[in-house]
Amino acid sequence: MGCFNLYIFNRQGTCIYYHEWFRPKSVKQGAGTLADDQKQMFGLFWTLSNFCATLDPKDQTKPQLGTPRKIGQGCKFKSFTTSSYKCNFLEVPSGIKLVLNTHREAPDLTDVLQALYDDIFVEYVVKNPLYVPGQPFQSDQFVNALNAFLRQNGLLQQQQIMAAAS
Amino acid sequence: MAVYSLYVINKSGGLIYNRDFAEAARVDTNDSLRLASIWHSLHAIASQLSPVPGCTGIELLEADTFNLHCFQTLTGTKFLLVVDPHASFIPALLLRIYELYSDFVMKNPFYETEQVIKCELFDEAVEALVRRYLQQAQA
Repeated sequence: MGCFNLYIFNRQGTCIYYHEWFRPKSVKQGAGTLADDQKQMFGLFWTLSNFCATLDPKDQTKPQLGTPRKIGQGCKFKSFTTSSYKCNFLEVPSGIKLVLNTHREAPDLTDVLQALYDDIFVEYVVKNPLYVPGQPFQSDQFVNALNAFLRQNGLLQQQQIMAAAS
Repeated sequence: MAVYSLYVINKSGGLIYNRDFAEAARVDTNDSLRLASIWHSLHAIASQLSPVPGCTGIELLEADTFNLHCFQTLTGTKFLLVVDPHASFIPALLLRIYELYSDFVMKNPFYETEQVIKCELFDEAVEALVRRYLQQAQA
């Protein structure tokens, strides 16, 4: 299985980190610019989480669509699958959101994303004394650890998605 | 194992059919109309955001308490089925519902395309199909 790209958002919805492994369809053919692409991805996340909280079939007292929710409140969603890719989401209690686009046959990645947050993001970014929380960052150490982590979990077998896309 | 609700959305994002199979799944009427049009746009945004060319939109949405399966026909009508996370064979069930839609709705001479579906035979057929599916799933 391969990965396409990774977005990390802070609690305000600003994209603090973006990494791309393989993206045959450029941003120009989609949202236009990278900043717009990131905003659109956050919008998709935001709307889907409201959508799920309102639709939740097991909750008798559904919130009305559009009522403000606290982080982690209501029904959360894990991923969506389209005809060509799978988009995996994780929101942690501090409001950091991870969005990882993978190959569409990827299994449930909730635990992998949680481990990515715990072992990579917290270790290499949050524990960095020079890092201001909630600000965009660039770190080679983080990138290396991220790649190693994904490879270890079998998520960076890029030739598969490259073959599928060509 | 349960099937919660069925939504049919026309090609411009309007809700044309809504049926709940479980009491708890009922959503406020206004909200269900809005959910339908939101889904229509999310579907389009997801294909725009795709890192690979040729994406046709969301097919399956997985959440903590439910799965949402979406089937889009060639004419742009979308069938949404909200089901239990453990339910299986849902894409096949959606195709069967599409078949019923073609038979009982599209072939109904009084039905105007893209308008709300008010068709007793379709209601009954969908009800029977879902009941049969649940029986088979339990067996």
